Amino acid sequence: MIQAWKRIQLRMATLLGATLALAMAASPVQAQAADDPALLSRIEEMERELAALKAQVAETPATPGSLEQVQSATVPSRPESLSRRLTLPDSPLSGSRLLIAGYADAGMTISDKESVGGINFIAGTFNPALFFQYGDWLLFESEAEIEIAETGETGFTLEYSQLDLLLHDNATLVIGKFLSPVGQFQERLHPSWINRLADAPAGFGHGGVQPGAEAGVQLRGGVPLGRSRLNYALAVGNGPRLDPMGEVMTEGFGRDDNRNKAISGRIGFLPLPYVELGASFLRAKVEGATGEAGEIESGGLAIASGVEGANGPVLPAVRYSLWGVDGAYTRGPWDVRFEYLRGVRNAIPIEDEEMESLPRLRKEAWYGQIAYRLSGLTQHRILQNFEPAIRYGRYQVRGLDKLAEETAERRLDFGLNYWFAPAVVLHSAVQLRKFTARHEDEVNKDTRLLLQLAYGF
Amino acid sequence: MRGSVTLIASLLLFATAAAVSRDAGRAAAAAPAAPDTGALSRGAKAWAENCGVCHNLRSPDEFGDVQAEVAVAHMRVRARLPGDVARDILAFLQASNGRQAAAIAPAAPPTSSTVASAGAVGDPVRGAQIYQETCVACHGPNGKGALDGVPDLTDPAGRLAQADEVVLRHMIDGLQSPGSPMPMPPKGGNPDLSDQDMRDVLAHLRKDFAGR
Repeated sequence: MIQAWKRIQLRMATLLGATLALAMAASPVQAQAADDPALLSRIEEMERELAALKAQVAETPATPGSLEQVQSATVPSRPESLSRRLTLPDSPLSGSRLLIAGYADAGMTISDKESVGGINFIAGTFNPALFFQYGDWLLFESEAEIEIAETGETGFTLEYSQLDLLLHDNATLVIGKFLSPVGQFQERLHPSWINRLADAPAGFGHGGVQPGAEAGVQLRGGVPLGRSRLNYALAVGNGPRLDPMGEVMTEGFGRDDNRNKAISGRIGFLPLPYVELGASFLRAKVEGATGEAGEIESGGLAIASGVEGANGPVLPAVRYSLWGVDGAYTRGPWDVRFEYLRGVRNAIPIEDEEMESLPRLRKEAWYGQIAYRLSGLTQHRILQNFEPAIRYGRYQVRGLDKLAEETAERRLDFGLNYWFAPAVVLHSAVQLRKFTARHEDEVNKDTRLLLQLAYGF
Repeated sequence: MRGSVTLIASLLLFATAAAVSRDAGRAAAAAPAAPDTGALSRGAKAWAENCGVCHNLRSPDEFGDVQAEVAVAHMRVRARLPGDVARDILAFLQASNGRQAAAIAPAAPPTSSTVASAGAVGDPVRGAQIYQETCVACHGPNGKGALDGVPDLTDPAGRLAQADEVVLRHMIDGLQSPGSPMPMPPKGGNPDLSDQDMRDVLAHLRKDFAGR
């Protein structure tokens, strides 16, 4: 800051001196040729520069500011590598660097069922992400999800907001709200420009069995084992909560509703660079309370503690356990994946004559997916950009009839992607859905055509 | 409750130990040197092997030096990459984005004069040496490709079936087809190589790989 101020002063003095010198040198000439247009033009130009410098000095904060502020005020735009040298001295405690990224998508669905809307345009989502890095040891990253609901309202969700301390080559400490490390879809594959189909597999999106996020602390990293590699993630967080129905919600709550902390994690093994096998788990306790405002389920009232209407006695905390396995084969044009998750919430005993205890809730989801880029077969300018994809999956819910009727399904997707660029893709898919827990007189089948343009930036 | 506290304490203790060991390592290390050819070669391989696991490989020139640094830090966390692997990838990306060379001495865009220079004679012996240092990580010692998505240079109907000027332009400027899982970075990711070096490599490819 001080150096920058001195540079400005020096430039002003130099300019002033040059102006005076020029004026003095020019005086005799001016006496002889006071209307010399070139000389007058030069003097006017220098006066303008002097005025601009004065204005710049006036705008420069009097208190010491950041090095970047002074540089931006005094240094014109430079080639990036040069500006990088200015803002990034060798010290690991140099200034912050910023990266803006994210993704967006939009599309439409065409359903054969009028009751589910027929043809609908989907505004999709806009997920901007900001990354700030300080030195080589601290990264702050945050991503928002902005989407238009069916009702026209704009929804805003902070997908994650975390501080990453790059402590060691094999260990990073993550603090804040982070994507759940359980499984592979939510943490790695859910962005629409990465996903091989237009939506999440059944049971792996919002409200499914796969946890969405966690608020807490996490240690993660990778360890080489010869040509193989091991990676790990172990997290401690606030954990899931019950919703008024007795469903387990895992969206990364900012405050715990009981004294128990949730522990979750995943361990992955890559025997070869393009083969990964993983195993995940989550263990937590969830706590409910009775009250009058809850949803009626199983003939009684059972609602989450801490919500409006939960004015009854707090119910005993019960265990929620989840485990799963996943695998991926990603050699060349192939993208083959599978994932299985099973979560069980123990029964919730309710000692009230007017209410029934909630039975054990079991949620189970799996999918298998194969995608193949035609660039593995042809170098044709157009054909090589196509990618057929197929996915079959199932989501089962037992112990909560209402949830099962809403969400339990078998789903088969036949997709065809076209890649305009490595991060710009047009997804198209025919989706066959069978809602397995609905009655015959309800809409229990749905065939849809999905179109989605996704852009990662 | 007690178990959770113990686990959190253990995590933080481990994290502290890791940080101390990292700082000790940093203090003992010499001043950071410019990435060597080995780092670039390892980085190219690591980039192809790790980044393509979840998403398509994006051309290195999509990111400037600073952006690449932050993006790689993010991916180190997200993909649980070891730190040394992440540094190799960063060295490769920064060397391959074409901006370093532009800042030092703005390079002329590929023009007809560049293309015309394709006719200049290359030294296949020197080209073989450069190939072994820079290209072999992805293209393999026999030109058939060491990584998936890398074209077979010995295929009679493959890349080398194209005219010298086309092949040389792709070698110098890089190439990425939207459908290909593996882009070719400019000059194989080594900005220190000159256009004459590329001509030498091409002479080597023509002599030792074409149609074999």
